[in-house]
Amino acid sequence: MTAEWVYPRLPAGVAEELLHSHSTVDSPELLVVASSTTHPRATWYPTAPNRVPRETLVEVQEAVRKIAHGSGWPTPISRYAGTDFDRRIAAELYRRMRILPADAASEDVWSFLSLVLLPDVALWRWPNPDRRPRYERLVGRPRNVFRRLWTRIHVLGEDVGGRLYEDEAVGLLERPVSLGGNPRTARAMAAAHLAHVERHPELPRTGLFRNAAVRMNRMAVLISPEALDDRQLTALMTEIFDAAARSLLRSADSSAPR
Amino acid sequence: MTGPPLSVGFLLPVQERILAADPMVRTSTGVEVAGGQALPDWDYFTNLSVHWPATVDLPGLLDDCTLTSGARVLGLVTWHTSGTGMRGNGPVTVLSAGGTVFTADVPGAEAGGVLHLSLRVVLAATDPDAGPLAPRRPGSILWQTATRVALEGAGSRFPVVQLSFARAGIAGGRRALWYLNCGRDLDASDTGSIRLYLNTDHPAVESIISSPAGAGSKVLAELIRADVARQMVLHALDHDELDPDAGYEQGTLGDMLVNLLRRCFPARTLHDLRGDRDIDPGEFEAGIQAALGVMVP
Repeated sequence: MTAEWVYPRLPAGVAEELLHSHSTVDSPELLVVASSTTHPRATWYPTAPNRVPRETLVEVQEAVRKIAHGSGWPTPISRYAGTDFDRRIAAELYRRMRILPADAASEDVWSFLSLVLLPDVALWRWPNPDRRPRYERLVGRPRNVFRRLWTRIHVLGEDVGGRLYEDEAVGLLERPVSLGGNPRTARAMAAAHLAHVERHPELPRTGLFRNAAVRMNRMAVLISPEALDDRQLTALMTEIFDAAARSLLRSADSSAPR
Repeated sequence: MTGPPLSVGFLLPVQERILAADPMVRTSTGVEVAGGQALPDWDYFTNLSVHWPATVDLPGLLDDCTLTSGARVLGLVTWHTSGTGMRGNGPVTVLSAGGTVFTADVPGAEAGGVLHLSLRVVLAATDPDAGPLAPRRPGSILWQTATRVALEGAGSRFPVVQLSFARAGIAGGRRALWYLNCGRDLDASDTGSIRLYLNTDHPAVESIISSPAGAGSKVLAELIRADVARQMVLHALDHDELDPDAGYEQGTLGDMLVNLLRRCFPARTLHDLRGDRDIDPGEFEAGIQAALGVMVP
């Protein structure tokens, strides 16, 4: 049996101090020196028998750095290269970390990962030139540099999770009603979206997703997707995305020059 | 959470068609609480099962919704935990007239914070012979009720780990009861510095884990609590660098040890306490017991 680890946690106050000091460093190369597998103020989930061993932390560190090097680290990263880095790193991070899902819900865990274990990669991917004290990409909030990628793979799986755009994944995983935290319904919605993107290359895919998400939010008040069998769930998602596509096509037609 | 719409656009049953009892949430260690309560001592490693009895007047429900007797209606328990944001549901059960216990299993590894539970009655599939205002869409929610169970409160827990001493090699693998490991870095975090290991090879520890409410378990838990505090007081006195006036940050080992000494011996200085310990160690330990109120009802 493969153990699921719990990870060190960096308290919020300590994370802010580290974020401030790391943000003043000019080069990601200098942050390699500041990185570590331990921090004296790190805490742990109290009753966890499986604390992640140092060797695993080193493996995670090396795997992430290897992909970062392949994406041009330490040269400043472009938006396109950043998206490509995210896509390449998400599944690798998920597989290497083997973190207990409940532990992965802790903001402090991701602060440790970003500011202690891998500040050289975290601040290269999301620099903080304005020295924002609680920059959401670098402390462990849901849009943290590593946390959002881990969550995407955990909920959506490697195949679907790797094919969604950033806005689409955020829109799906942060959905308040009944979808985001339910892997089965979230995957069904993502699969329907990708199928419709392929069928309607003429439509803006992010607009398609947003339109469908609004429809799904309305629908989730009336129906319980959890009660549907696979065929019914697929039919529901297809119906919603068909309606969203028709709506966008009508809007495009009506705004076209006559 | 989004509230119910003013009109769902189809007929609903009157509320009294479904009589739901309080759901019971049980842990894998046998602790049980009703909906609306807090679950004591839950952690990630404790799985949960939900049992939610309900009685349904099925003919009345179908009649209210103008569904025919051929319509299939389902019941299920859905769950959502605030700590992780994860959601899930129990088995989807075809409703029949009379009483049913709806269930759901919630894996501890996916849970945290507050566990939100809903019991839902839904339409399984379109009923072709139903009335014009009947629910039609599969999955339509005909009735639901909700409750919550607090899994984690605001207070922090003492770091306790259950494991086999034989496999871990603690105390030579023999049948000790517990082992307190306490670090020496006073500026390090308290939960990172302290761990209490309970030996699952020992029958008394096994008993406290499986039956925490038993009389014997309560006595043992009290003894462990007292011994842990005793060891930490002695650890504090043995620590050459501990300084009650150093102003350790909240959440550090130094802060925890200083607070423990102040709580047990509010009128004594560190110097006094070390002297007391050196003059008569036995009486000093008796003083610790008295300060902790061991076995005092």
